[in-house]
Amino acid sequence: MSRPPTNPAPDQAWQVRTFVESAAELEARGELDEAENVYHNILAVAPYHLHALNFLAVRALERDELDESEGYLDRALRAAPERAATHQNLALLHRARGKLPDALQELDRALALNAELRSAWLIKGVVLDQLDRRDEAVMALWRGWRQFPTAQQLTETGIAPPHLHKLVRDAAHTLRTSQRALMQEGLRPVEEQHGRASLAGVWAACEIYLGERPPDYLHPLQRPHFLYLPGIPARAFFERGALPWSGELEAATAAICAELEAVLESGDGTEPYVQSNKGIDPERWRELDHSRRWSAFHLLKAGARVGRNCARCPTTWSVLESLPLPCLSGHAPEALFSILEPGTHIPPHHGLGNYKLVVHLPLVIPEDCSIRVGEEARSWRKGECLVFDDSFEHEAWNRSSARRSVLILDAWNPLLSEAERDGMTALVEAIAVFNEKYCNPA
Amino acid sequence: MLNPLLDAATLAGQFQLKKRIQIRDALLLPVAERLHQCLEDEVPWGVAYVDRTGKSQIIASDKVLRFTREDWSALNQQVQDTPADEFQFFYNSYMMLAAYREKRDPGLALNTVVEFLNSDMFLGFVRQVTGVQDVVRADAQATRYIPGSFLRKHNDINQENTRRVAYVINLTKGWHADWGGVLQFLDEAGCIEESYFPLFNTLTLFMVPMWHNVSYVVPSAAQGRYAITGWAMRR
Repeated sequence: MSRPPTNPAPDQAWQVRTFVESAAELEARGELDEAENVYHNILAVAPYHLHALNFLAVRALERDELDESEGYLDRALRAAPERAATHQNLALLHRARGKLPDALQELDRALALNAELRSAWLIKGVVLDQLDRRDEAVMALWRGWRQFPTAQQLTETGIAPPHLHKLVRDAAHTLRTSQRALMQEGLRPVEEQHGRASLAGVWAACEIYLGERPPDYLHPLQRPHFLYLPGIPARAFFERGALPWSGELEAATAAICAELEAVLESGDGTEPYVQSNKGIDPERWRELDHSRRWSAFHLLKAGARVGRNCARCPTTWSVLESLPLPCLSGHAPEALFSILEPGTHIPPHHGLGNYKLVVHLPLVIPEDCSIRVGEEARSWRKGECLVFDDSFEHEAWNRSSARRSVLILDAWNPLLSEAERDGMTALVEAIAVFNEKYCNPA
Repeated sequence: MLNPLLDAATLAGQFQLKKRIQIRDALLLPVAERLHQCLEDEVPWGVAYVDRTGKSQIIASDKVLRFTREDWSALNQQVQDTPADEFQFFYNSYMMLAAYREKRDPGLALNTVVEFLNSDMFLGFVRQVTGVQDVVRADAQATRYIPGSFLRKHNDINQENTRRVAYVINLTKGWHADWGGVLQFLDEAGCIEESYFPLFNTLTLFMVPMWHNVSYVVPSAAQGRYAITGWAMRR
């Protein structure tokens, strides 16, 4: 056995690669002590491994070994000064030492490097809150959050790594407190008018919106995007008679139809119905996004009158004006001609909430057109209102070789009491105020 | 799975020249893309090597997970110490056929590949291209070569002499010639006759026996070299 002495140094690249995969797997399994061992192994082979340095820095921080944590972070900064995560962890270290302004500075550095680092926004919110800069705190938290995940979603969606979960829960508390305050303020006059008991459902809707209680939908196909008012029976279709004014609208069918035809003839004023911004379920809407296969001619858009279009359809507008449509800040009422080209399918989707209904006044209806809401599919019949709750999954087809046109408008769900209508109006307004104040800083 | 545009008759003519061929655009592109993703993200890799007694070993992924530096040093020492004239290899492996039989990872995309490789579509294609009519089944292993991986010279003959045609489906993207990991065919003297670069979505077929190796993957290789490989067998 006279082999030449071999180099004892193991093959480092292979080792590091395997160690990194193992550490990530152990981390994912929650075996953090084991993962820590593996990260130490990585550093022994690759002393400037950034992920290992950051992981170990956070672990040391959690044990309150601040100097050790600083050592790792220093090394990480020397290796790569431009990593947002390192600056975020340095901010956590400063915060642990009570140096809040320094923490803030590091968070701003992290966010300058990566404005999408949601955990850095959340930590910044907490630090600003500690500095009593409340409005800025809420703004930062909301920027990092954009919605209220439940504790379960928090861990499942990976919105923040486990060591930040407590901090994120605190952030949620701060945000909710702030948002609830605006809701309470908005609902107070409604309570004074109708009594607190009559608003139990609306308060439940608030809590669901804030992620404080599960929605417990009554029907599996009901999934409102924005607000769910519990206690309202789950019904996909409503009969026309459920809306006392449907007859009035139907009586104007011929005149509205004539105005629609004039609009379509001019080809002016219609626009693609779907104009989704990047990130809103692009896969589902790819076919129809910015497509003329489904177009709209708005008379009322997000609650605002579209003057130019209304002037072209005076009869339609005068009928709309006479109806008791829901006025909800930023999103209702809407009224529009919806024009679906031959062979077009509107894929299954959900609307904003069950507190309002969608009314279709069918105007031009070829054969082979239909709409499914929840479990039931129906066809349109010219001049007969079709009324449904669009918080149920719904989809529509034009399988004919001609255009299909309907007038769409919003209506209150008639199952709401007057108190609930006023309450929902105030709630939507409070959410709009919050969004305006904190979401779109100038 | 197989690209329907492949012309087996033409390919058969090319195969006859050297009893080997590398076929481009072998799988339907979406299939190849999906398998690449699977190999990159979803496979629990083990470590394959030859132990001191000359026996092939695979260290299970769960054991690799808890490897210490000492474990690595010992394994590495052993692999590197193998005398130059003895067989050795070192790469990440996932034995697809065994995993499929044991239903080890239900839902893993590689399970469908095992079925494909044992279908008439694939075996029939192999028969047509190679002229070897007695292949009735295929085994399969997914492999990943990372820096430090290699496969020394061998000729694929097994004790039972069941292997007829070796195949490699290359599922690596953006590989560089500088990174090594090249399949090299060797003559009796050990000289390189021809090299096959691991081009994405190519299918390599060659007769057993044929001397070949896979060259050492250099430390600067920035990504894994992925393949699904095995033999079409006569029983």
